Amino acid sequence: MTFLVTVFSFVLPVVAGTLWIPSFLPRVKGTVADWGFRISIGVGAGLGAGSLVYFFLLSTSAGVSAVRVFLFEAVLFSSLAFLAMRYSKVKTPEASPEPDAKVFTAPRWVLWTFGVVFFSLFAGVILTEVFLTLDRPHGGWDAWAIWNLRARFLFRGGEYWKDAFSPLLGEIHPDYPLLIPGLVARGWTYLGRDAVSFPAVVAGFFTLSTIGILTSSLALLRGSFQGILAGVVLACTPIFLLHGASQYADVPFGYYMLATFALLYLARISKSRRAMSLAGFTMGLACWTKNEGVILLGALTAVYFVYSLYSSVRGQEIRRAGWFLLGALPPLLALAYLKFGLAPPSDMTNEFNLAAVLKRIVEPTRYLEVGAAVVREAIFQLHLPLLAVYLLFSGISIRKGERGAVLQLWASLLLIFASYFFVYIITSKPLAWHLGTSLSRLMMQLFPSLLFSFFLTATTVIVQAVDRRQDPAAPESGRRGKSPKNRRGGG
Amino acid sequence: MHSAAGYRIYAGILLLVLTSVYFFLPFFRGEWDSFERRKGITVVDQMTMYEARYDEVRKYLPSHGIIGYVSDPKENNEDRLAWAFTQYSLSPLLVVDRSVNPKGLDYPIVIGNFHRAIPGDDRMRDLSFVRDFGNGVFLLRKVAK
Repeated sequence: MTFLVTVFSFVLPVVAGTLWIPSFLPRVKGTVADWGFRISIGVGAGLGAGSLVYFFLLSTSAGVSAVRVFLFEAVLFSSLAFLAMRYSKVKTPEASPEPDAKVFTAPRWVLWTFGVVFFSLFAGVILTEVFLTLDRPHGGWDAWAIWNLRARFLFRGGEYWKDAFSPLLGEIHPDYPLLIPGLVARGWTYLGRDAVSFPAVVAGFFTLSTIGILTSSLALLRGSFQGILAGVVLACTPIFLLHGASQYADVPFGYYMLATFALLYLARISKSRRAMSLAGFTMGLACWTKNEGVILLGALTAVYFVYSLYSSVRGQEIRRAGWFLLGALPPLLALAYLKFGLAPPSDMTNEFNLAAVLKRIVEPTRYLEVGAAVVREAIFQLHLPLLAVYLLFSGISIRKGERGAVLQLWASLLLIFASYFFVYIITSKPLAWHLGTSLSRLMMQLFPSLLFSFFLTATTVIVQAVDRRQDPAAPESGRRGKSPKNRRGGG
Repeated sequence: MHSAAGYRIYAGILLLVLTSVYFFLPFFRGEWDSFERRKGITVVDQMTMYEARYDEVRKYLPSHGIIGYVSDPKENNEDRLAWAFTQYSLSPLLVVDRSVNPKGLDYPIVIGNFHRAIPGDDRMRDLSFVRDFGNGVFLLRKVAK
């Protein structure tokens, strides 16, 4: 029974999310990559919306019952799904500019072989997540001490749910955003009890969907082979799987960051306002997941501002930014209510002392300590030297029309990384302890987006739909056309 | 793709994929072995055991509000771990550690969570025992002055 209700509680937001997505995307092609992208983004959009709805119902009524949540969600989600399908235009692939970048072609059997490897690894990832969860059903320390504890307050607290934000709980950060606690409490409301398995299922959804978005978005933008390569690298990173099963909020946050970057990229190359608003929504959900969302918003704003200064169509860029903010509005409003209406000030704000901060900024040893920790993490956990070696083999090649978009992506990531680095420089907490307890998680937030940017930048490998001896110009099914002059290394 | 550039990129792809799989397989095998070892043995995780310690005392506590918390001194970070376990187990009650937050001294109902011995120091000042639930869990009450 628990299993059935758990499935049911996921079905409504996930299906609704998957139905909403196509109306926001610039192209509807019906390929495997397209469906993968719709479902992977739909999972996060739907579950995020479910968390927001639960928080809205808690905030506006005395009690939240399963029937009430179901009725509200059924009416809201199905109406939105109907509107999305009603206004979803059947689009044909747009005429794209020539890739104007180096690409490699490979025979189709190579794609099939790597496809089998990828799906075998994906099955392995699911099993690994199950084993890790059986080992620690309540998740890691932060999972139960922060995220699931707050879900318990929301679910068990009844009319006293606001106790979750008591300053007496200062040690466990009552100001942290509520996407995960809200989502877990929502599921428990459906179940009627606080089953330990539910947060683990939520964690599994986000872990698998992160691999899904990375693979499918790159498959849409650079071809299936490039997507599979990226998916294999992420799926084979043990630290990602560990953090995924830990039930922390970092993998979900990384998921929303990646979704935002992928949608912004799509919106930028297709000039789609709807994709911009969906990117805004996922960015807002990132803010609703972790406080680091504010850094993501700041980085995106700064990069967009600089880009707009040099843009020849500044007015158009500002209008597109407006669509982005419109999409971000629902989660940002919920966050504003949480921060200014419910939660006590953050411990970071309370502990801020300008003189001490300035003193730390001029201490070179702190930079060395943080730098060394980052390098260790990059080498031994994320295996970044492997990517560097791959780049030596493949080379860099970005499509001419997309260079601005790739540059924006890297600039945003770099800004976010610099902000995280700076937070460690100025932290009032013991530096070694702070690095030891959080650096791995912060790097993990960036890793899926880093892989996305990396495989957009590396030379694309595409497959031939038919034997080139029969039709040398045939592109991969569903891909953009390419001219023989842009190929390199053809057989 | 038989040119030098073609072989080079094939080599790059193979290196990337095989090395990635090389990182994954030992990790997967470790988790699989751990699962196999646990099969057939009833192993309860630390948190589930901790929650079970509070099953009885929960019946004597209010459904919401604030209670105090007292424990014996522990090494390293075990103090905070024990308090966090207790807060998680007893939520939605707010459990305030008297040794960390002086506000915890104000609340009449206090939960005692002792692992080694009941401390004889300041921690127990103004407290009287109401009931012993075994496993080091006690219900205490602040003595009215």
